[in-house]
Amino acid sequence: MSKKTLTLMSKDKQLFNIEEHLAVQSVTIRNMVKEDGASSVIPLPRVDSETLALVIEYLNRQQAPEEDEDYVKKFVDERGEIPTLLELAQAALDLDIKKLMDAACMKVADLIKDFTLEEVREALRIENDRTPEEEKAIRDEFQWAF
Amino acid sequence: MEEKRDWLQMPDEIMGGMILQRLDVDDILMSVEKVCRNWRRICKDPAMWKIIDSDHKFDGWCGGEYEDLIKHAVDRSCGELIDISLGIYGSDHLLDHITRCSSKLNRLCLIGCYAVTSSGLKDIKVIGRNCPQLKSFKMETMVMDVDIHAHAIANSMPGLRHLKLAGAIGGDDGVQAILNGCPHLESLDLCRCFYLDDLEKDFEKLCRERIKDFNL
Repeated sequence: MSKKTLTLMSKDKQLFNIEEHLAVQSVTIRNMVKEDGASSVIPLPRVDSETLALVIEYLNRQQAPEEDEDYVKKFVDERGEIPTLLELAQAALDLDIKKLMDAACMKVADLIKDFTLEEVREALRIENDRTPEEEKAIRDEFQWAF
Repeated sequence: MEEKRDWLQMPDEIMGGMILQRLDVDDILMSVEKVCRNWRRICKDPAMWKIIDSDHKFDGWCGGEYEDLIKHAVDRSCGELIDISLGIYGSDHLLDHITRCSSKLNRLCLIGCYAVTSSGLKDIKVIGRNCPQLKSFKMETMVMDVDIHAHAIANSMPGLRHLKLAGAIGGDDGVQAILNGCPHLESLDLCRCFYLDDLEKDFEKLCRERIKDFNL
């Protein structure tokens, strides 16, 4: 039996081929294939090409089921940058690939748990947008703890 | 180069439910929620506090302060709490507070809560009454008496699926009460219980037949 191939298109219009039986690990793609045979290109407007390449690498893995947990963990461990992991988590959410999303989120939580407030802001490029009133409200709420 | 994305646009189900929720209670309340407005909003959402797992450590806190912190977290759940694990700082007072305002509680773990006293007989009945959805109850390394606690559990927690009473003192009378009172029990763990070593062979066999996962 010949293996059917699907084409996925990233946000920046790059095309990626993947065998259908591997692509349908994504529940989103599985549903698309079921609905219309997904003969044409599947657009993924929120996933950039760098992230999609990672997702494809993950879907193409050839692990035995009993080694799969370790593989997913190692896969996200090797991509220790928080922005990359968050992109991966977002893509895995959109594509409904639960194991990958869980692993990426767990890794992010592991990384930020030892960060200081400033380090978290820096790693995620978040600005402190709280007003002095809000700062005071938080301080008041936890007065007993300071 | 393309403008890097704004992580604050991430769905709450990822940032709150999958990432921030995994952090320690003290880190969330003392640090994470101060990062920005959006994170404060996520951390105030009762959904963030459905599961409170804090049986392990409370580095740098004294017991009373940490207890207050957990109480605060429980209050934030606004009754949505379904799963909580307490460690050494747990007390009668905290347990009472939790069970009084958490009618949806599904799983309760007390690990080494020495300050939860063995007048627990009364408390356990109250827990059972206040938390009718309780399916899993675990008491480990605490001052307890299988016979007394087992009868209270049997009388007040008929819906239990999983029960662990590790390191208690008692005999097969209490175990019989549990078998009678908790007909849906799938697992029963009585490891490190004194007196239970000489459980009658026939009775042990009965327990193993009745309960899928029986551990002595």
